[in-house]
Amino acid sequence: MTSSNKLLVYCVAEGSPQLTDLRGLEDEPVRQVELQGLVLLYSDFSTARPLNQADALRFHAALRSVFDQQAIIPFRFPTFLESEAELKSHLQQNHAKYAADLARLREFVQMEVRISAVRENNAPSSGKEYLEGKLQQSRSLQEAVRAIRDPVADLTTDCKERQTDQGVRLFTLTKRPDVAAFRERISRSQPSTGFTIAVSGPWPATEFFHE
Amino acid sequence: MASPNVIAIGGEGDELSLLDILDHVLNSGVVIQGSIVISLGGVDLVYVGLNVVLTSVETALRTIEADQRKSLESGK
Repeated sequence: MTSSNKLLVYCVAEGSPQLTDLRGLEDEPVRQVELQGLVLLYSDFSTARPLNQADALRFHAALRSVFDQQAIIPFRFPTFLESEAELKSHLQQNHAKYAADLARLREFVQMEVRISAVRENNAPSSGKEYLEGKLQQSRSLQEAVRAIRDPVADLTTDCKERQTDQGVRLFTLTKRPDVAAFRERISRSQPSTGFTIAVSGPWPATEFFHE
Repeated sequence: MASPNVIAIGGEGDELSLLDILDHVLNSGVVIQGSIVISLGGVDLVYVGLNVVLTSVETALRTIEADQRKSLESGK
């Protein structure tokens, strides 16, 4: 994308996060507009050039600096608005929704567990065998999900599942102080045969915001 | 001791994997109406309107991962 004289939007947060020396894309300082207890963070972006992977990582680093302090509602990269007036207008229009989400999720982060089936090279010899294999895999996957969810049930306030081509992505709402215990328990779990597990986080609780 | 089939990404002192970060940065968060086109690792991701992804991000990321694997294997 080529952009000129736009404002790149990072996230919404409560109160006054520490932004000292926080830099965003193009090494521009991250600034904020404030409205009734919420701030929307942004930086200038005036370079006309395609965005790239390094930009996405720089964006992530800026988000991370704030998220390490407190809950945030991130914007999808890249989101541009035209002016501070537009920023304020957006914050005003969505203030109630953002304030409710941040208050509800203030103490929480999102952990993610990917449960993936190990690919097998054996091609089914018939349609019946294929369908039976799919049914068996579905049952095994549900067992694998249970085997992951149960050990962290007391560390999970809410949980969502999303099917993928390879298996399931589990998103859990977990209290920030419980992250280490969560990772420890998942790391010690024994995945069901035929599945691998990858845990990542903490992330902003994007799966649990209101639509 | 961790199971050999469990991968813990992004623990204390670890770096989150590139793919995890890109997946979250590109696929999570508030979407404001508008049209954007970005270039990521040589793959153009075209978003039109609110939330429609013409080139799937997951596919793009798999392409990048495959390219990176090839580069590592060839010692580049």
